[in-house]
Amino acid sequence: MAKHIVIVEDDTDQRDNYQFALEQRGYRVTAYAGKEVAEAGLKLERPDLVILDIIMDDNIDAGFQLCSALLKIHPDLPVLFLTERVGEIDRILGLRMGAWDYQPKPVSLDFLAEKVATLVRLSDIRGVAAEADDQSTRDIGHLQLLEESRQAKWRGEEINGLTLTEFRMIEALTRRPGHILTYDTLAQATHQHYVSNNTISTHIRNIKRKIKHLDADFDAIRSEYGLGYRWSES
Amino acid sequence: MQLPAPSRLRFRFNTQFLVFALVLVSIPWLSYRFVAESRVFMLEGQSQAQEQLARGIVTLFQGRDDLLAELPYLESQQVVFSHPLIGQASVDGYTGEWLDFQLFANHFGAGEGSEDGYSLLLGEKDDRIFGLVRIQDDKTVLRTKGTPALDLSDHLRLTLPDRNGNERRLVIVATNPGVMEVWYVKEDWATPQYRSPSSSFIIQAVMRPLVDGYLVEFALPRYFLNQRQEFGLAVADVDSDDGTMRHLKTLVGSDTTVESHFNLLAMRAPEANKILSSLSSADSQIIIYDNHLQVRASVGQVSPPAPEKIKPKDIFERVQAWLNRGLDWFIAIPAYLNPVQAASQERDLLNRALNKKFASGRWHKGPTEQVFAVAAPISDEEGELLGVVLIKQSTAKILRLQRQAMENIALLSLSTMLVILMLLLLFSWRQAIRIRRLGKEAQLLVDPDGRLRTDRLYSDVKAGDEIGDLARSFSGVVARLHEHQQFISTMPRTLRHEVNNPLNATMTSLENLQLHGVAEGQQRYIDSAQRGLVKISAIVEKLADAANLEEALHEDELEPLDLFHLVQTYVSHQNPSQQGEAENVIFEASREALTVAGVDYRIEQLLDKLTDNARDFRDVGSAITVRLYRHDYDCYLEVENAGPQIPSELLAGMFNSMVSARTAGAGHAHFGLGLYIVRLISQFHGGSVSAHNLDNPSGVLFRIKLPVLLV
Repeated sequence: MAKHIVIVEDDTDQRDNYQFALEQRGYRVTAYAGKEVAEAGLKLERPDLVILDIIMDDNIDAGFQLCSALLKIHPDLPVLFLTERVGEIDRILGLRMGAWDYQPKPVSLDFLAEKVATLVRLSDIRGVAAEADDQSTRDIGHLQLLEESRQAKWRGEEINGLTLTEFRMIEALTRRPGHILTYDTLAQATHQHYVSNNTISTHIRNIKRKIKHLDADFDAIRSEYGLGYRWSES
Repeated sequence: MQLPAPSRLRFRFNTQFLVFALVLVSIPWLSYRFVAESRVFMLEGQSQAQEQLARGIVTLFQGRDDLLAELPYLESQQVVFSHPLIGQASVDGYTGEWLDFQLFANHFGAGEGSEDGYSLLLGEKDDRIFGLVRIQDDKTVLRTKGTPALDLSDHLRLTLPDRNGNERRLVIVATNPGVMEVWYVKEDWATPQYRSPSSSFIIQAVMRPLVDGYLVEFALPRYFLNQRQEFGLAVADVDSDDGTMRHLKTLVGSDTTVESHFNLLAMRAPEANKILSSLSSADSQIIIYDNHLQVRASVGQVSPPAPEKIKPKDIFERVQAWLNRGLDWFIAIPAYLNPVQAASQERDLLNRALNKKFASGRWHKGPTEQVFAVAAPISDEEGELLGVVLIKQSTAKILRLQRQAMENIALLSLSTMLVILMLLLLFSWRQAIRIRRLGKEAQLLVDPDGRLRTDRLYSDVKAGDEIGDLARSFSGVVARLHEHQQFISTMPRTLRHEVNNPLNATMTSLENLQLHGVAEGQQRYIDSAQRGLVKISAIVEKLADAANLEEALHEDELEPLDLFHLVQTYVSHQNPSQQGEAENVIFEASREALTVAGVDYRIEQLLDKLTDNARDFRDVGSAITVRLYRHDYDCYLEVENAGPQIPSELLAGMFNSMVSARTAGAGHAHFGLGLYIVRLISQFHGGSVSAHNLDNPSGVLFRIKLPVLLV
């Protein structure tokens, strides 16, 4: 049975484009043009994933408010924010509210579809705890990557709050440990049209912070200033 | 912006103050002129009134020879006229009260060629007769106390016949200068009968030595005289030739006629005096002289006794004393006559009146007093001269009034000026503080980077005056500027929000178009459109990143950072890895630990901006030099390139947002944000950035100064 995806976006063109792209990829898509209608519709049925815009009409926090309301009804509902509000505060606020990921605009529909697929799969995996143990893993030193659930462990402990983009960057960095990954290569991992070096560095900083919560001495991600980053455990 | 040229008529504050002060000073000056003019007017009026009075008196006395002939003149008797003493008459040996009458002194001598002699002046005041005897004596012999005889020293012999015809003989003798002894004596003038008590006020006498003799001033009650007012006075000069034996050398009497050895004391005519007393007025003296120029009647006095000078007690009185002195200097008339000169003037007037002419004159008696005098002849019915009336009037009262007015004006003006000055000072001090506060707040409005810190002014915006208006206007301007600044700062974010949505719609539409399938040969147009959209996306991202940088920096945590390693690594990654190729970037540094508190990717971002900038402006083929060194507690990171210098007008503001030296259409889109980001990152690290033009060869150097972390 096709997975049910709900899109809440006030811009008709974008909404239609998302809907068309996802329907083309076999999803059942319901699109809402505003917060109120979405809230009413979502009370009746739990979808497999909700894609939310944040600014809708004149309400600049409509997405956040809707997310908060939905998670009260369906606490384990995967929520993906898709918005042009890519500021640091928005990102943190969105994730702390319980959203699963955050995708800045403009987005590649291929990548959106891939992200949707990943999140739906993750939802499925996380819903069945037993399956999680059976999924394929990759160990790089003290790091363990759980490929299906897009989760990572450092020294056996799960790295909390890792976004899909961050997981992809760790995955890319550890593909050839000791080798430098240039900014351009890392940018591809973000699946965005344009990514500045600074955005990559910000992602790396966030990854480091999250791992350092588990291990204050973590220094496996080395900066190759002016070029990129390298995974190298000492 | 060119400021409007100031008006050619420029009144600066000090000029305005000077004009104001002149206006302020002119108020007391005008008051003084008014008082001075009033004085002239009043003096003229007084002079005319005086002349009218003189004519009136003349009319009163016209033909009244009985009034002036009342004196029982005897051909056989020497008449000594009594003068009306004015002021405080006292027996003190000083001649202050006699000054006006010195010219009328009677002189008596021992004989032709004799050096001895004396002058006598008699006067009256209230019910007492006063005498002033000035004796010429080459050697004054004083009485030795205890000596029984009274004729062994210089002495005065006074003969006073009583109303019964008995003679009373008195000897006035001095044992020392000062108070003299008064003895009643027997007929031999040597044997004392009894002494008048020295404490008595009945007869007083005081002796004062002079250079050429001595002076005796005495007083006795008027009732001591008989009806005819006869008296006799002789001065006995006693000498001691060998120093021990004393003998009477000369005896000079006032009774110069054979028939009578008494003088006659000519007193003022009572009837004439009575008439005059009704005419008396303050500050004026009316004197009736007979045709011998002897005073027959007088009333009043020219000037009241000078008030005693009281030593100022408190500061206010001291100020008043200084003020008085200043006023004296201001209104004093320096050329005034001394008493002798004044008497001569008076005599001149009297002489003219004696010639039956009406005469008037005025002279200054003292520094603050003028005397008006009028002398008019009095004739009998046949036109024979009976006497002269002299009216002397002092302007002291007017001058005193003027002086009081001046004092009041001066005090009032001074107080007013002081109060106004204080008020002005307070006012200007308050205004200066307000303006300074406003200026200070205006200075603090803008941070070192030229951005407004607040959206309004707080000083004086509620004040209702012009400064308040200025503050409100300025606050309004600040509010508008702040709004504009807010708009500018949020503009990139707004732009991103507004651009990203249609951009996303377009990009996703293109993708969907591809999904539908495109005709052969059309894919390249779709690719081209997508590349253009990515470029737009990049531009928007860059703008938004720069605008968000300050906010984003707050998320960063400073950590110890090996700057040498960072820069060295960075430079090594800038250069081509292929052997044989020239280095793009040269790293110059002394190897030493250079630890700073920093965020590595922000320093990297800073280096990106500086090296990108240097690449854009360097001479073709030239290398960029990155230099790192330490000096004291700071380390310096320099990026230098050979190439054109930065125009001087750009140097000051080139680290501000949206400032660029690049010309339009130089390839990549540039918004003048690179160096702005460099400044923000430097400042976030506690450092600073500066740009320098280099000569020989021409180039540009950017220097980042960061504090070394002392561990």
